[in-house]
Amino acid sequence: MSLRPDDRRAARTASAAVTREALAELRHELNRMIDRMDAFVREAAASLQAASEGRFHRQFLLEGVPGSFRTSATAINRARTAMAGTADRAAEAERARLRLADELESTVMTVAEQVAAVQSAAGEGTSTIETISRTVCDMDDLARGIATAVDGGDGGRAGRDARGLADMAERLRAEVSHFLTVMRGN
Amino acid sequence: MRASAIRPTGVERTFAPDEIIVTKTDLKGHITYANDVFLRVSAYSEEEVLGQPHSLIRHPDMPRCVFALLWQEIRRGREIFAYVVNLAADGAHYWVLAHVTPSAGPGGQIVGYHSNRRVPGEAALRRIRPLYASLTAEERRRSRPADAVEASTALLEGTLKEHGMSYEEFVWSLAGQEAAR
Repeated sequence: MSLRPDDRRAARTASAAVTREALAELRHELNRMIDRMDAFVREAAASLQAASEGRFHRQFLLEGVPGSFRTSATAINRARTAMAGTADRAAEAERARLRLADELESTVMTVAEQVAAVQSAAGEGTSTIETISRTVCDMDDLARGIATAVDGGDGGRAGRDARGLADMAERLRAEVSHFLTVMRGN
Repeated sequence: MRASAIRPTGVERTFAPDEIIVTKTDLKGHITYANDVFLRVSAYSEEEVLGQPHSLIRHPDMPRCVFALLWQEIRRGREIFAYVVNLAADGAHYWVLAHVTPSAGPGGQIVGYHSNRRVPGEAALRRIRPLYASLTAEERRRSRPADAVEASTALLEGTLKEHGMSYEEFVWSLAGQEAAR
């Protein structure tokens, strides 16, 4: 049985409407996919750029970021947090290094002044003064070594070697102890 | 344009946290693309918004100084985040956390602007609403738009200085809560 002309026209109109609706929905779906990818790329680039400039407060917003995009965004946020922690620790280490250098300089200056005062009081030509001079030279060398290492003046090699610094400090302590023993005449 | 005739009804509209509103504009701020979420929330049809200035959805309670800052940043090629209240075609309003970025052409030149908008957190809006109210009040005391922007910009800068923050740090002190959600 064939359709009447009016029914055929109505069927074609209904079919065209369904097709238009489906095409519109398909277009929205495609646009949603492109929009999400675009948003992800812009956010990823901007949040990493900010982190590289030390602006760690700029996060990757997770709102509106679904599925595997969200997983990747969370990973970027974790990396940003780790970078912020590293930057904080580096800044604190720098502050501690400068404090240590200042303290060391002050200590060396104090010791040098005290030694100069002892030399002046004891006169010259005695074996004790020779011992004191040698000891002070050793102490000075050690102190300079530590200061250079702490300041990173050796290219940072010794600055990275905590054990080396500790050894030098221990030798300096032993030299000071020896110096004091000599000074006491024991 | 019918935007000038729209009166805010006070009805607030929102959208889902997993949705983003997207629009793109040319260098003059005329809309070249609007996604389906924008069309639904703003109550405009695609034909009504394409080619129109983005200020089509400007709400009278939105401080001019925030838009001035936004344009200043994106024209310099920088991104900016801003809390914005927009006016829909039917008079309803909706709050967004907008992320606006320049779009670069093949040679790196800016060819247009792109805006992603997320639904903002209520805690952030509790801080933003009174701030924007004071900024718009400052602007309404001036008759010339340029004077209004200058006055509210000075007020915004003063407020940020009181808090010891840049604009970016202030927005992120609020938006950071969104990231943590």
